[in-house]
Amino acid sequence: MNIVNKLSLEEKLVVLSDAAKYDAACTSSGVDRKGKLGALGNAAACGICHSFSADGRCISLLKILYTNECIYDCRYCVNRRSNDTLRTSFTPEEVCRLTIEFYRRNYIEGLFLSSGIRKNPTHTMEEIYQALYLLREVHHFNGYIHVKAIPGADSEVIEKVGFLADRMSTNLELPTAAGLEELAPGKNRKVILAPMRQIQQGIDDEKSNIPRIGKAGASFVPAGQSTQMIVGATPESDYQILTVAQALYHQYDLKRVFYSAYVAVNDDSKLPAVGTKPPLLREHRLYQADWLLRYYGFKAQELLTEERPNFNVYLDPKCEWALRHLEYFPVEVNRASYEMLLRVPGIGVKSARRIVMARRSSRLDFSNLKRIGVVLKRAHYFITCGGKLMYQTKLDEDYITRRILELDRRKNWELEYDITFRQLSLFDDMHMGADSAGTDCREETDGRFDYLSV
Amino acid sequence: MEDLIIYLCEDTPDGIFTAIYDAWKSGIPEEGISIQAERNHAMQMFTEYVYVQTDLDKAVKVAQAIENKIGGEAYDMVYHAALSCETDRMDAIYRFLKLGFRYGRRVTSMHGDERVCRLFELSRSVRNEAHAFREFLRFHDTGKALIARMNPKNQVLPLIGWHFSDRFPDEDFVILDENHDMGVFHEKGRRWYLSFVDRGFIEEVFGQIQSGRYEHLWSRFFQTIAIAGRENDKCQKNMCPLRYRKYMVEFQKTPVSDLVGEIGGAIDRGSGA
Repeated sequence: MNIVNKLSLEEKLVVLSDAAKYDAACTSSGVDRKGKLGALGNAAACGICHSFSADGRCISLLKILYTNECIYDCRYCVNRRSNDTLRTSFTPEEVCRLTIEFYRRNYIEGLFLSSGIRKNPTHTMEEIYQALYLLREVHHFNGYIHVKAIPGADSEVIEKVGFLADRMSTNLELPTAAGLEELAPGKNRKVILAPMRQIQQGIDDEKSNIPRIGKAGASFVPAGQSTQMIVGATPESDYQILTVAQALYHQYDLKRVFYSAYVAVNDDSKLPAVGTKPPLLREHRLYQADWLLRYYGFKAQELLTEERPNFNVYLDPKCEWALRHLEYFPVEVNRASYEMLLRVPGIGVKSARRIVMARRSSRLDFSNLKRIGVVLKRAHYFITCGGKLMYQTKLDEDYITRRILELDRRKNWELEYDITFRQLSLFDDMHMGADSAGTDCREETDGRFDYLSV
Repeated sequence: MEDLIIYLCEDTPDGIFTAIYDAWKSGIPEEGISIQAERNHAMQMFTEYVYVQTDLDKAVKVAQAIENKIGGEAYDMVYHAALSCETDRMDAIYRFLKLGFRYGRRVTSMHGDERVCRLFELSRSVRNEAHAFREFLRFHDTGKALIARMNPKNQVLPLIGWHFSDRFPDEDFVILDENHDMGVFHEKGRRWYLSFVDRGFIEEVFGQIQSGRYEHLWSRFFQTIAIAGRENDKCQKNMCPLRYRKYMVEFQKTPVSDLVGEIGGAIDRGSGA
């Protein structure tokens, strides 16, 4: 391995942020913390983006690897041991200095520290702990910290890190254990799930006030934990992936599952060839479906089945569901339950709430709905106001499907060809704030997220 | 036709609230009244003008009446709308308040009403802009203080002031709004305050500031973190519109050094060690 430690800080920053850029998560959400005298920083539950890179993704955190040295040889990973790339590591002081100086200039909300595995998992986790300790306890950094829990690391050090971090995540890597075995020699599902369970347990204990080893007043992973899995490197169906995600939400209380369209970085016989287009549109549909699981009351089994295991990538999952269940439609906006309103394509969480509020004081017509933020060009097939449809349309699956495909054609084309819209989906943390009950900043931002209210 | 009476007031929340107080007291029906900013007002024919003298007592009375009778949520919206740059902001507030004093707290859920919608729109666009500057404002470290400048359409500075003084309680910092000639000043451990500043002062201060080490490091990070081959200019512009980029270091045109050469050099040095 080509290990170089005498790089300048700038050179290290370039190498170790380049190595971290494929990580999907860059959100800074989930925890509200006021500033305090003698400390630097605060945290906003809705999360704050500070810039947008040339690929359109939000930059919220200083996203870097601690080291890109790695003892593993995972076939899909750009840092796999057998790749001949330049390897280097930060020192805890360097991580600290970069985070603080960037934070003071309002470039970032905090730090997202991930890492390759140097020597062994516990050793690497220990180094990450040193960096966090320095930040929190010596420099009194009060901003956001997201850190990876390294599978196989000693539970004690994971616990210590948990008291310094806001969010922790353990990468599931691949949707199924079989896929993992095939592509990541040396890793297995059980070892990955162990820290996830430990962190969940820690968060639960804190909720039930069980005394812990942490400093008095310190909070354990207050922004919760997340995970990510790679989509398209292995042959799992959308149904399998979504079922796994649902189980993670239910059994591990995850805040977020991130899906990462596989970017073919390595030449490997077991993987799609280098240069294969990442399945961005599929990734996008999974994010939308994930959204439906978390905020719209859908179950994975409603959206997909063993017989129909994959989404039609050209339709958003909510529309697809509605078109297959036309028996529920059209619904009368002035009477329908909140839950039913949520299932109407073109009505999002916010507009459903507004409808329920506004119809108390007056009967709503289509122009009211438009002002409320309902996407009528999509919704009008499925709703009535005062018993009337907006236009003369028929409630017919083929007819509506054709019309909606027409609407989406351009967007889908963009998604498939030149764009990564993935970042939009990543915002949702900052957006729907199930965990941030108050108003939230991003969502207010002028319908930039309109498309999410599918 | 009755003549229109126009109240001309100072363009600050206090000025606007004073005008609302005076207009309300006059008892003239709402159709016959308009409130406008004194600055840049073009006089019209068949119009009677009343010059409003900003009066803190009156302004506070209006603010309290809104809080008590229509609620805190409505107050926030009115306050945000008062910071807007739209010329109809004062009339929009006045018409909303007329409605609010009649319907009470209920008014904020009356999404069907034109007057309520307009106020929401104004307030939302101010909050959005304030949020954009929370994201995109950039500080420079002069060694004495952190200093930033901004070019907002609306008067978002008071909203920004809260945010950064909570975030940087231990820093001395200054934020200058070059469009409204105002500044937020914060001294370590003290309360922040808002003050008018001279445009010349802003230019003078920034004339001396040079881009330093961390500005450079940040720009490098910014370039590296993008995934090559997935450029998406449209999405980037959508999320970070050009007008916000004027003072963002990562968007300034500086010669980009040759990354390959540098890293290559690093490898040489490293392997020689």
